[in-house]
Amino acid sequence: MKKQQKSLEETAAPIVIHENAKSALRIRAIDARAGKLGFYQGQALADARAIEPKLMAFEADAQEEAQSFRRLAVALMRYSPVVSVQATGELFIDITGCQRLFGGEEAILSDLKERMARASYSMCAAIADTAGAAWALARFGCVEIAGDGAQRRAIASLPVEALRLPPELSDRLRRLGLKTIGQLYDMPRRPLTARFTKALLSRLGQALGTEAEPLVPVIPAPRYYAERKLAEPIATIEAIKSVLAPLAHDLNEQLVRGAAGARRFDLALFRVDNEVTRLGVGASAPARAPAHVMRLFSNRLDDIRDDHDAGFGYEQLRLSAFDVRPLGVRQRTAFDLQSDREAQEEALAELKDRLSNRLGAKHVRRVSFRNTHLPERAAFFTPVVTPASPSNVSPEERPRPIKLLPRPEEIEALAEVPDGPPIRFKWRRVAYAVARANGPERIADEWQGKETAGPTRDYYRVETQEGRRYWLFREGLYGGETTNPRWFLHGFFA
Amino acid sequence: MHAIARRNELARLRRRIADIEKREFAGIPEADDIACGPVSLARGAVHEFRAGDYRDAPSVLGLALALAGAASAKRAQPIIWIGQARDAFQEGVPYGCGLNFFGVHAELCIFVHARDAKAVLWAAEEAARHDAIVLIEFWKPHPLLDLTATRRLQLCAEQSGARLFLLRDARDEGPSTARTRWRLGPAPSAEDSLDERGLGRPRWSAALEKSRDGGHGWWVLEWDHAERRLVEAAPHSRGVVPAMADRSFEETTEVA
Repeated sequence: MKKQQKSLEETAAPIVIHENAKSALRIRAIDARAGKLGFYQGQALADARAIEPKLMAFEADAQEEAQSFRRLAVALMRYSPVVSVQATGELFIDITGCQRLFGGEEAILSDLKERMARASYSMCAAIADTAGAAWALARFGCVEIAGDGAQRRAIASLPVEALRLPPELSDRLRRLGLKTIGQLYDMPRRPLTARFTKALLSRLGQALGTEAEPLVPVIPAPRYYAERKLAEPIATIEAIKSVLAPLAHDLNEQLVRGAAGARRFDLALFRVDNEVTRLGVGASAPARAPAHVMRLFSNRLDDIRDDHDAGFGYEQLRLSAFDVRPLGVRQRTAFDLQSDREAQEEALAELKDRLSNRLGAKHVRRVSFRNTHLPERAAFFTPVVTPASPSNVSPEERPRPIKLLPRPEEIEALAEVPDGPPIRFKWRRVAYAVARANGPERIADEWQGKETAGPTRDYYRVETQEGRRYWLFREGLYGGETTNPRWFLHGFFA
Repeated sequence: MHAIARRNELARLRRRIADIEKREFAGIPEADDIACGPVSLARGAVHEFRAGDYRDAPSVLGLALALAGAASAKRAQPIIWIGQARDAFQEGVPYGCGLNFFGVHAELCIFVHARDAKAVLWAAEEAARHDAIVLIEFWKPHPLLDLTATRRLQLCAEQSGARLFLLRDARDEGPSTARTRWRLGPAPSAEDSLDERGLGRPRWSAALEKSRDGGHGWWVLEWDHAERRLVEAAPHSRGVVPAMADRSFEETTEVA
């Protein structure tokens, strides 16, 4: 398939895209009008300008081109979850098993052509049993659909260039009089390999289907997915939910059959105008129950309610399961404590998923511990939806506050003796009188030698006259590291 | 007009039936019964803890943790701790290393940092549908936390059996339909037997301002770390044991 730039209907001037090639600015792509005037790819831009001074020339942007082509590839995932971009301007769609949804190969091809024409793309496309044969037919062929097993005959008369060979290889074949693919069919294999390297036989095999050619999809293809093509486009969140329900049901059936559950679900909404909206939700444990999946998406859909743009509506929905894990079928019996606990755990997992999907995974967390004395590093949060890594580090045994300030705040403190606890301190412009104190607990920075190494801290637990309890520390060893120690408030006790 | 009157009457009767049903089961001790002083804090209910001073927030939070820890000791249940993300720099973040002191298993906790008051209430409602202990830090008054919001939380809790601790500021005049309402703050600790200048067991001054089951009073409570339970601090306490007074429904059901 060849993509060309959209033509601007209003402007009369021909449009070309140029790039720097072979030490000159050369035309890389042309629109229909420029084609009529006889411009061609590879022509020097200066020559073209001389012929048509009104020529509108734009510089090629390889990155932008690749990006927009990738977007197109994602939009074409409506035909199949396996869409592979080999090079900008060329893509493969693996429609194996997808014909049913559209009503056959002819229907897919005509739908594709119509869609691309509507979006002002020009293209060539062909359908064959192998990616190699389809490429050959799209580029050089006269038939668009090679039937089952018919690729050998269909590409026999095509030039050897149709095998996707490096140019110097096809040049050498031509010089030896081997001009069509068919001529290669009955050649002895060994001399061919000897003269033209393995690449030739490999490409030939890929075209004929005797050698496998794995396609790398733009988005990893799900093993389990369910989809619906709608007769009438839909736009409202409610309508999406009503279509999603049967999809979740279908997907569940597939997952049950495969004794599997998924930790990630992806809903692709294909818009009439080729845009694709993708919504993803995560589950903390492998899930498949339709009700659970529906609830997860329900929250996400409610969130986008206000700012989602359905354009002219969505015409196709696909629900895919990713990160698939084994999940057995459980039989629940009444009055069974084991299953009761399992049911509770399941409910808790669902709660974690709902919270994480609505509020963001990084805002719903559990705590883990590190083997360090540095208080701010000893405990850390991880999202509950990430699998728990078994850790045998238990929390610090010594008294620790229930809340910690993200950054210790400097306070003004007055101590009776330089290395004793404070008797008064001022924090956030409020004065506190200390009634009781425990300490010091000396915590030395263990990253000695690194730049982050800080001075030693002497921590005190103090109680004010009202009974409020704080965790304070003096930074630096008095007389050793500093003569004028600074005080900080780091946490709160109950 | 008639329709509205009839609906109100129906609602009143439903509440009355619900209250009668609850009372009938009140005599059966629950496996994870937790008590704040002599007052039992029922499952399936919202308990409102108000801090008398903004600086008392950690103390009030500590009491809620102590109660959660005491309940967890009897029956392991998840603890869902909901707060606002932007309060972190002002009020600090939950510190996992300090939870063990109150018998709270850190691995049973889910920490939710919601974006704003709306998200806090949404998360609280989701959590309340689960049989769990839910701590909701809601220190700053917000119009969203109104009668309807607290009633919704209460309804969710009733169905799931969750205990919700709604932590607010005493200046927050917002209404609520909580099962019990407390005004809490720290109390100076008694001296430690080993270190006369050191900190004793944490103490709270706890005033039960309102209870749907009747009764009110004032106690000084103390956390017994070794036994993992909340006890009345004998020397200071002058609490009034609340009778399970059968008050008229009109007084207890409707809170303006």
